[in-house]
Amino acid sequence: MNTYTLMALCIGSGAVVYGWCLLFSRPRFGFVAPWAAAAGTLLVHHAPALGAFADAGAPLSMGIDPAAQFVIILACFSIGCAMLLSPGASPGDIWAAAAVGAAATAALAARQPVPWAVSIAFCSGAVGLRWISGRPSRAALGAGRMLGVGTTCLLLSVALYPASGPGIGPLASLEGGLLAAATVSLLALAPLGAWAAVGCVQESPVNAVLWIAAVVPVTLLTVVRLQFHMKIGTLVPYFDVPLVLGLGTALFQGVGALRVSGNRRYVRVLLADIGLAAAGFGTSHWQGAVGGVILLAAQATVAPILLQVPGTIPARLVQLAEVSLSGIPPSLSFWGRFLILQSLALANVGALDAGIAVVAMLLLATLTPLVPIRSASASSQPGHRLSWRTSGAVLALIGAYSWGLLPQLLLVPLGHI
Amino acid sequence: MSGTFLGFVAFVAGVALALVDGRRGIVWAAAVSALALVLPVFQIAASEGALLILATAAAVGLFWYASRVAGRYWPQMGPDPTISLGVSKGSLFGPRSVRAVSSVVSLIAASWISLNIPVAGSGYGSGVLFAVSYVTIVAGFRILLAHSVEDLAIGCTGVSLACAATVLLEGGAAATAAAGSVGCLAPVAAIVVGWMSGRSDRSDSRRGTEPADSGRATA
Repeated sequence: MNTYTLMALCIGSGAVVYGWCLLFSRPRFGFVAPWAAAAGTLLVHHAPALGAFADAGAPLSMGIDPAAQFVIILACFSIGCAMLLSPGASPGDIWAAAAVGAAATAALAARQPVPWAVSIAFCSGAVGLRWISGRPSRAALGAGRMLGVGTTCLLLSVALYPASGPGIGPLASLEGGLLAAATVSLLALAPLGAWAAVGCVQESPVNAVLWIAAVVPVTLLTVVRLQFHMKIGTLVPYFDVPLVLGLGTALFQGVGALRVSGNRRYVRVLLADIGLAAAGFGTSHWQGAVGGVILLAAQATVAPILLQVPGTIPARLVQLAEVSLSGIPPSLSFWGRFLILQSLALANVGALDAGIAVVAMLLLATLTPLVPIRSASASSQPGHRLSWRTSGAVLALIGAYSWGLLPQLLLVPLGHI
Repeated sequence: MSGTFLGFVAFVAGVALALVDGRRGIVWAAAVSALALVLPVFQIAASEGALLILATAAAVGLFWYASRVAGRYWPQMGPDPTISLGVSKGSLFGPRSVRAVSSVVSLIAASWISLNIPVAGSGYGSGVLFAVSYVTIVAGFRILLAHSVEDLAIGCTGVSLACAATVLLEGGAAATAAAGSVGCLAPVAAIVVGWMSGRSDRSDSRRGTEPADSGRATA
C-alpha cells in the first residue's frame, strides 16, 4: 500500500461511511471511516512492493516513514474516538475528517517543500472551513483568519525556498521569519492563539479534535524535518521564535489553567502543552522534538474524552483522563515533558526554569479536579448510549496509559525524526 | 517593459483586490490578481508561466460557476459566505475602509521588499518583485481582516496566485509543476465559495427572497 492508496482509503472510507449514514440515518457510526484509515496505515510497511518509496528524488514523490505512520494512526484513532463519543456527530464530520486525513497524509508523506506546504494548506483550510460552517462565530472566524495567515506565510516561505545565492542575508532571514510566523499561527502560540482557547470550547469535540490531532502534530513534525534543508541564515528566527513564544504561551496558559475549570481548564492545559512542544522544537535538540510529538500524542489521545460536554462521559473516566495529563509516571505526558525539560536544560538555564514552572502549574491544574468528586448524576445517561461511549472512552484511556507504560514502543518510530 | 509600468498595474490591481466584494468577488479577485502577475511572470517564465497564471484565473471563474450551480441541487444548507461572522456592525469605519488602509500599508511593505530583498540574485527590475510582493501582502491582509468566508476565499485566491508567481520567479519555466500545485488552491477556494453560495441561493429561493448578488454593505 502506498501513500496515494492511503489517501484514497481516507477519502473512500469517508465516502462509503457517509453514504451509509445518509441511507440509514446512523451518523454515530462515522467512527468507522477514520479507524479504517488507521488500519490501512498499519499495513503500509507490510506491502512495500506497492509503495512509491523508490523514487524519493522525484519532484512529487511520497513515502511514509515510521514517525509519519505513528502520527497518522494517532490522528485517525483520536478522530474516530471523538466521533464515537460525541452525541452530536453529524455526517458532515465524516467528510471533514476524510479531507483532513487525506491532506495530513499527503503532508507527512511529501518529500519536497512545495507539496508539503500545499498539503498543510489543504489540511488547515479544511479544519477552518469546518469550524466556520459547523458553528459560525467570531472564534471560528478567528480560526479561519489565523490558519489562513499561517498558510500564507508557509506558502510564501516555500515559494522562496529554493532561492539561489548565499545562505545568509535578508532573503534567508525573511524565509526563516515566514516559517516561524507560520509555525506560530498554525500552532496557536501567543500572541496569535486567542482563537484556540475559545474555539476549542465552543466547537463540537470532533471539529476541535481535527485541529488538535491532525493539524498540530502534522505541522510540528514536518517543521522539525524541514530544519535539515534550511539555510544557515534562516535558522535563527526558525528556532528562536518558537522557543520564546512557546515558553511564553506555556506560562500564560499554565497560569490560566489554574484559574478556570471544566473544559476550559483542559483547553488551557492543551495550549500550554502545545507551547511546550514548540519550545522543545525551538531548542533544536532531538529530545525536544521527540518530547513534543509525545506530548501532542498524549493530548490527542485524551482530547476526545475531555472535550465532551460534562455528563456525557462517566466522571471517573474523565478523572483518569485528566490524571494522564498530569505528568506523573507512567503517563504519556510524563515522558513528553521529561524529554522537553532535558532539551531546555541543554539549551538555556532560564528556559529550563520557565519549563519547570510550567510543568508544576500543569501538575496542579490537572490534579485539582481529583479533590472534589464529580456529581454521580453525570453518568446517568440512557443505557445503550452510555455503553458505546464508555467503551470508547476506556479504549482511549487504555491507549494513553499503555503507551506511557511502554515508552520504547514510541521511541522506535519517533527515532526516525 | 518598464518597472514603473509593472508597479503601477500591480498597484491598481492590488487596490481592486483589497476592495472587491460580493457574490462574484472571488472571480474578480482572480482576474485582477492575474492582471497584476501575468506581465512580470511573462518576463521571467515566458509564455508557459503566463499561461499558467491565466489558466488558473480562468479555472477560478469556471469552477466557481459550476460549483454554484451544483450547490443549488444539494440537500444540505450552509452559511451564506458573504455574511459577516460575529463582527459588530456599529464601528466607525467599515471593513472596506480598513482594507483600503491595509492596501496603503501593503504599498510601503512591498516597496521595501522590492528594494531590499534580492530574490533570484536580483536579476530582474524592482517592478517585477513589487508586483508579486504587493499582491501577496494585500491578499494576506485580506485574510487577516476577513469578516466572512468570501473574504477568506478572496485572500486565499490572491495568495495562491502570488505564491505561484513567486515559484516561477525563483525557478523560471522549469518550476511550472510546482507553481501549478501552489496555484491549485485558488480553484479549490472558488469551488468552496461557489458551493456555499449555491446552497444559500437555494435557501433564499425557498424563503421567497432574491439572492444577495450585490453583497453586503461595506462603506
